[in-house]
Amino acid sequence: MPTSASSKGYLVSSIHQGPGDLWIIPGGIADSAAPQLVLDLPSGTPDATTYPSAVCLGTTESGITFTIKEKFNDIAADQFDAPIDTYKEESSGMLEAELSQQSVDLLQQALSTGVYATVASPGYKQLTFGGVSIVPTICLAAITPKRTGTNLYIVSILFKAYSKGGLEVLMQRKKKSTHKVQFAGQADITRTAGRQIGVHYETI
Amino acid sequence: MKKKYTVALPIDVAGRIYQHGESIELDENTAKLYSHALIAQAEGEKSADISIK
Repeated sequence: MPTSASSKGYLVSSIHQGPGDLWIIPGGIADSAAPQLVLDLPSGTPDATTYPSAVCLGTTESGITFTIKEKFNDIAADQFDAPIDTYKEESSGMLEAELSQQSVDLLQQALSTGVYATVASPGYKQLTFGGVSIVPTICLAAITPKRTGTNLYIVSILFKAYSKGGLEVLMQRKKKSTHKVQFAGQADITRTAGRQIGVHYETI
Repeated sequence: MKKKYTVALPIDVAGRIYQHGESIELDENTAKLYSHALIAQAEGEKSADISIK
């Protein structure tokens, strides 16, 4: 029987590279078939008119990690030596980064139950903590320009996330201060099933 | 002129603590000081995450 070759699908432009920026999108993104950000394409930032309250978390020390995990359990039967089916126990989404800008207002994004206050004169910005138990949730996006095309981006979004990691700030002579942030996605049950936790997409 | 905002992150304004989801009315200059923690209510209406009171 004659044969023919199958395409391997090698596509170098699909091999990506950072860096990216982490953005808080306080107003969130409406539930739709394409729950994506309106981007200002030249700058690769959220459109300031659509998202006037968007906050960039600043410079990163290392990369931004977007993690989607699914936990599966096998259904086994004693009669068979391999699982005969599988069910999904949970899904989770996480955005993590190590940030280097440490103004107190940015630190609050990591310690989101902290209470921010500021006074212009005599000037200070402070973050107090303890006693607040409402956990703020926020929409979060990582935006990375594609290395292979102008005005093209890879975007990872958690529709409803909370800061999980708390705050650890180290001051020392030999190394500049950084702090790690860890945002865990929640299922927003007001959204359509299949689009409740987040989205990862590329513009083409 | 004062505008209405929804509090995204807890803030202390003039000695009162406003928590996530609360409504607050601020003048433009004060709102700038707390801008990272506020959502303009017109913007927040797009969100399914945060209720507007």
